Amino acid sequence: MMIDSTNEATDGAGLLVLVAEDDDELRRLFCEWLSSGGYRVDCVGSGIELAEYMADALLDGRPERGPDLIVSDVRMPGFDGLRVLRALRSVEPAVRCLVVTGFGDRSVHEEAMRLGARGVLDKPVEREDLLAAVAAALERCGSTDAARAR
Amino acid sequence: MSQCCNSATLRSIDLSNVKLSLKIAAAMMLLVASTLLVFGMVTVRRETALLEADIARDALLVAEGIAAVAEQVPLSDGAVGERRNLSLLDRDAGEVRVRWLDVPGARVDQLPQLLRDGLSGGRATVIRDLDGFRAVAPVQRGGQLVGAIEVFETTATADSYRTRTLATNGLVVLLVLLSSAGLAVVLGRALVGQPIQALIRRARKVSDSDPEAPQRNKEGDEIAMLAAEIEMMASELEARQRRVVEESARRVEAEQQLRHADRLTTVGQLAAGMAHELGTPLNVISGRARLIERAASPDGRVAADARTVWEQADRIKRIVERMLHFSRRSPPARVDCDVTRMVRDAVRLLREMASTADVELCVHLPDEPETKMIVDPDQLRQVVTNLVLNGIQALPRGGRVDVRMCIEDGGQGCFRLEVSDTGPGIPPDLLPQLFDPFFTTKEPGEGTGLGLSLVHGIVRDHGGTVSVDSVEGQGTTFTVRLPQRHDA
Repeated sequence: MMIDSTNEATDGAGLLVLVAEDDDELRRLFCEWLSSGGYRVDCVGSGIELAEYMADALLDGRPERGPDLIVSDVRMPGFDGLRVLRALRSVEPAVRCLVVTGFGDRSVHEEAMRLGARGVLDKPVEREDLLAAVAAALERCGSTDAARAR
Repeated sequence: MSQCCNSATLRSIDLSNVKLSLKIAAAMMLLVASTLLVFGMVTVRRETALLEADIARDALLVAEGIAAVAEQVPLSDGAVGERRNLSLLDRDAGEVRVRWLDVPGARVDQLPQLLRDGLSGGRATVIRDLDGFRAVAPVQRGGQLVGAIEVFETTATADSYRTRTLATNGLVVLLVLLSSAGLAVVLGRALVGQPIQALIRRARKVSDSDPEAPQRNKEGDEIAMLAAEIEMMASELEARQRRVVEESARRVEAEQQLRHADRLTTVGQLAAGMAHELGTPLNVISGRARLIERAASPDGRVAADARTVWEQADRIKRIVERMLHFSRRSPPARVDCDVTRMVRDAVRLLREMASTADVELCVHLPDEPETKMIVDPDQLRQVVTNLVLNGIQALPRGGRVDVRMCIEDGGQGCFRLEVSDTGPGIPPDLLPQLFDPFFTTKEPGEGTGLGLSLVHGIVRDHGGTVSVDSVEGQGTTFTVRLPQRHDA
């Protein structure tokens, strides 16, 4: 059983976060952290899976089934995370995305922000940093999203 | 001449440049000879003519004289006696022959027409006849032509005179020719041949880059001018050669720096790639360890071990960050700054570390209160720091590190920083790798080996050079040179 010093079980307000990370261990870690933060978590392991997931959610005509936030690694095999982001935003501008990159490439930071990412995190990420960034990214959700019944 | 005998080639040179003076001499001699010959012949001819005229006149006068005498001699022995007497007039004095000619007579009939006409005309005439002059003078008695006196004078003397004179003339011309030829050869060798040979030798030495003191030619003639030109050419070539040598040395050094930079770039890229990959497992290790620590009882072994794990993971993260920082060095942010103060400040921050290591740290700065340069002060501070640290670390048993900063060649010259230590020095075979990233002679854990390669990178970005001088057992000196820039 997990004992949190800070009870963040309800902070997530039931919002859905999609984690896109090709490394199994790291993906598991992120998912655990986010769950402990009170979020609902889904995860995909590659750019293709991410695209499929989003296609499912967006093109299905039911945008409310899409994630409130995507936390995506920039470099995944076969699929450049930034390309995905660009593609996603062209389809659904309201998509919110948090980009994770290895050791803070400044050019990646700038590019990601330019493409409308809600934030960029450098690996290795600590739990607190991830939760804070997710909370900040979702801040603009406002009451409308929080009111979405799940 | 002794110089001619140095070698076969020199000898052939000697002949070939004597040819030059011989050509000139031959032309001159031809002119002189022809002039002399022509003049000689004209003179001889004139004198011969005069002489012959003389002989002709002589013959005529003698003939007339004897005829006149003959006209006065009374002939009293009758016709036969007369003839006898008159035949006594026949003489042959070698060059002059006198004869009595009866008119009419056989001898008269043999005379040339011109003379017979003269006789008929009652006057003495002289003509040229083969090898002499023949004069005939009429002898008249009682108004009637009874005979003639013939005088023949040879021109043999004149002829032999002419022949002799011509021969002498020819001989003189020949002598003049020979002597002037000899003089031309001698002078040619002395004035042309030898100086030119000396020039050829000098030119050979120049082309063989053989240093030799410049020669001085005393005369002011064309050869001296040529010699002067050759000297100038020689010194010009020497200067040019020196420049070429300097330039290639500079180019070699630039290539070395470039190759080094290439290596750094490659390593940097490798480092960056590696760093990116490391981020993920580090994340997992650090994250899981923290979770374990959180889940375990705070005072237990498990919590402590878990903390160790993520602390070490953080340490790895810092190492990787440093490595990335090196590979991702940003271009210099140049501003106007006082480099004297920057060096002083950088050294001051290291004094404590130096004293801890029992190292005497001396700094020598220029007298001027401040020195302005347009550089990136943070990066240069890093350079000073890394070099001084390197020096301190080279003195495990204490010693001395000197920091010297100056501006070469006055205000507009290079910035020059020297950091010397009295350490054990660097073995020569290690010197080429000194600025390579991760190269270090320290124990593992005591340094990343990135310090000097960072120095090299920063200095290069500023357009400068860094070099090292090391003598084993005496110490090491690093020298950084940065050119001045006046535009920001």
